[in-house]
Amino acid sequence: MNLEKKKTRFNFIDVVIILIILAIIGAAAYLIVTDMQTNKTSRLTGNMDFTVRISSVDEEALALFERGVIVKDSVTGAVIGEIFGVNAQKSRYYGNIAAKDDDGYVVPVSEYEDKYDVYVIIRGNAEKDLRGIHYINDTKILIGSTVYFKIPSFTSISYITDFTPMITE
Amino acid sequence: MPISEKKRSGAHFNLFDVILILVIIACITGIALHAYFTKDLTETYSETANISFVVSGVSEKTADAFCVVGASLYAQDSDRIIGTLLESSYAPLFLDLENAEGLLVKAKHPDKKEITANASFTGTWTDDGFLIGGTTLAIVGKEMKIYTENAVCTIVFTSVSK
Repeated sequence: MNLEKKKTRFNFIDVVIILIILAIIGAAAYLIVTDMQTNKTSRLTGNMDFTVRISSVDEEALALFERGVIVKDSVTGAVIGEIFGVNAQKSRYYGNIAAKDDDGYVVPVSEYEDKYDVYVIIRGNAEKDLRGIHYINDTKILIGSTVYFKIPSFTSISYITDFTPMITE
Repeated sequence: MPISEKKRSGAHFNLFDVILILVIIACITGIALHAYFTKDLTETYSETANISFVVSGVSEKTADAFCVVGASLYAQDSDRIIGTLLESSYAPLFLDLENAEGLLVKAKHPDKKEITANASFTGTWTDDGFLIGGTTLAIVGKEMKIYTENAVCTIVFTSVSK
């Protein structure tokens, strides 16, 4: 009696087919990833300066903002650039009782004694996409964009208030 | 008496065939998903709507950067062009505050501006109204975050017309 053993056959053709299909999966994955980055594909890279505003910074913390300090994204940890310049102005408080002036009514404004709005000029390496929009990491450099600002011993949400077009390398 | 051999059926199914079939299904699914998600980026809409909106409480720098007639408008959650700025201007922001007598008055903000603008948006008209980019319904009072080449703002629709 000859009992044919059932066994799982694994032949050369199966290997070739698996390799081909893995190659197709790899190519498809690559196309999907690159398609998602199409609009962000940089034509140009280079240094650019942009200014962020950090509101209501305690006076004691102003000393932390020094030229040359590396700025990172507090969410991702990626380097954004380095501090190129700093300007601090006393933070303003806007009252909620209208004040009369010559032209009508105005929102009254006062200044805090010990809180400052800090304007930090950051110089970083940016990319410019086909639309002319600048990016540093995944952050679009647009006035009003949010930057999660982090330097040693200090983190805060900041907003871009100005930028200068990229210096091409 | 010789034992007759069972004829093997043509459909001999083993583990590797199962793996191959699953992988092929995954490939087809991946290609289909890719086509589905990239379709939105390339699809163009031929219908337009004239939409007015305001942007309140921005700095003068932001207002200057945003108010560029002819600028392309992009949806914040994607990179699609959704419209073109036709006209825009900005003025001091006025807030409703109480005066010393407790009456509600319009008070001028010393620093903030309000942008008033009009843009042509692309999308499609439906029974519920105009869908910007085929996805966002333009309703008076609704907010939408958009950006141009220079600035990002939150706009509030004030009127929608064909």
